[in-house]
Amino acid sequence: MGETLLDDLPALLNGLGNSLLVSAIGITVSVVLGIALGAARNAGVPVLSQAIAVYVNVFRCTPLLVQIFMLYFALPEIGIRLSPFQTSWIALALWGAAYHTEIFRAGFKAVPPAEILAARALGMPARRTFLDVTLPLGLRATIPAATTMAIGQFRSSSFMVVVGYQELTYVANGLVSQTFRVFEIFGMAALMYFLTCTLIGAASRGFETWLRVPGTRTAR
Amino acid sequence: MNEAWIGPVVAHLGRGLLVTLWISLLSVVVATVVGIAVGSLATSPKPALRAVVRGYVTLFRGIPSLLILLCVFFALPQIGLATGPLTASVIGLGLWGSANIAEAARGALFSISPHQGEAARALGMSARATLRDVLLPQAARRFLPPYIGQLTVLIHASALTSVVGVSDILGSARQMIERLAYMGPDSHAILIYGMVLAVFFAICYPLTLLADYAERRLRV
Repeated sequence: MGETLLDDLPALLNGLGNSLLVSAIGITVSVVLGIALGAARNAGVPVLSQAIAVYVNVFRCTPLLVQIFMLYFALPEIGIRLSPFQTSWIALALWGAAYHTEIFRAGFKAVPPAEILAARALGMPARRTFLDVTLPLGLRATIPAATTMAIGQFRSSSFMVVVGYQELTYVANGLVSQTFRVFEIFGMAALMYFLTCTLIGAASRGFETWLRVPGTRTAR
Repeated sequence: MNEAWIGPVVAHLGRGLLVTLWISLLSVVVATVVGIAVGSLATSPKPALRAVVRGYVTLFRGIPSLLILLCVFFALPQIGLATGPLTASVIGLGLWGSANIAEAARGALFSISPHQGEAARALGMSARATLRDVLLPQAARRFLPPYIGQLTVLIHASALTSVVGVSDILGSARQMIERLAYMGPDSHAILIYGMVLAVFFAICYPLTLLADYAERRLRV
């Protein structure tokens, strides 16, 4: 807590670092889960597919904030005690995976059936076809949607203020209640979120262009 | 087993639910009015105005909803507007939601072929009449599915108001759990937060089904 914004900058940057840390873990876990669950949904594995649909609907149709409360304040009742850090990345991962599952399922479904038929006709087993045809083509098509979701997860890491994890919004909120310099501090935090989101978006577009297969379109 | 705790908890959650619905309704109204107005300005022939719209949408969508909410909550008293947390919440959520709705409106308007507007203008229709009678009716069909999706987002976001002290359903649940924990050995946190999740699910799941239905039904 200092006199000017410059004195508060290290604390805010530290908060941003913590936000990025839980977001990176949460996003990675949710993308991996999303690809696996999306593939299972796309393949229509009996029972598993329906169970995944229930999971997706429950997590998409309830607020992330209530999910966080459940993880942090209710689970200790049955002996599961999560630290603020664990709660933060687990909540982002479970919530995000529900959305990523749908994104990847749609991406896999959008792969032209002719590509898959051709691979199968050439004698490729179903698993190889998925790994070598559906996955590379489907994943490319999902980059924009998955990025939008990942940016949403990063922004939602601000919700972790309620469990006391030292992320950017928690730090900014603490500084504001001590100094009452609302506009400077929240403005700076907002700028940090905004720039990070913009950077992630730009990086993703670059990645997408770099990976693009000539002659294919990206679906949004 | 003593079940006497259930009655007061359900009654208190019911009162909280009314607050949640009220905040959701007000912020949806604010977000819809501002969002459609801002989104329509994106079709303006003036580049400066379009840039302002672009900036508004990009800015508010790049900042976490909770940060906007906290900022409005702390900033309003500083500029001499002593409002309660409820008003601050509605303004904050309304502003944030309006950017999302503006983006949906902008996307819908731009998805209409420019020839439609040019043809109307060539027939001598005024810019206003072109927008009202040609572009908007067509754009409305494309706008509705993402708009319904935004309603669920805003209803979820209403839970954030508990962070600034509004006794919405989540805030009420928290108060009851704290009271039960104070009075006896068991706070019933899992069951109570489970009820909150169930209520949100019961509201938002039908809305997502409606959005899917609208998307299939209103395809242009």
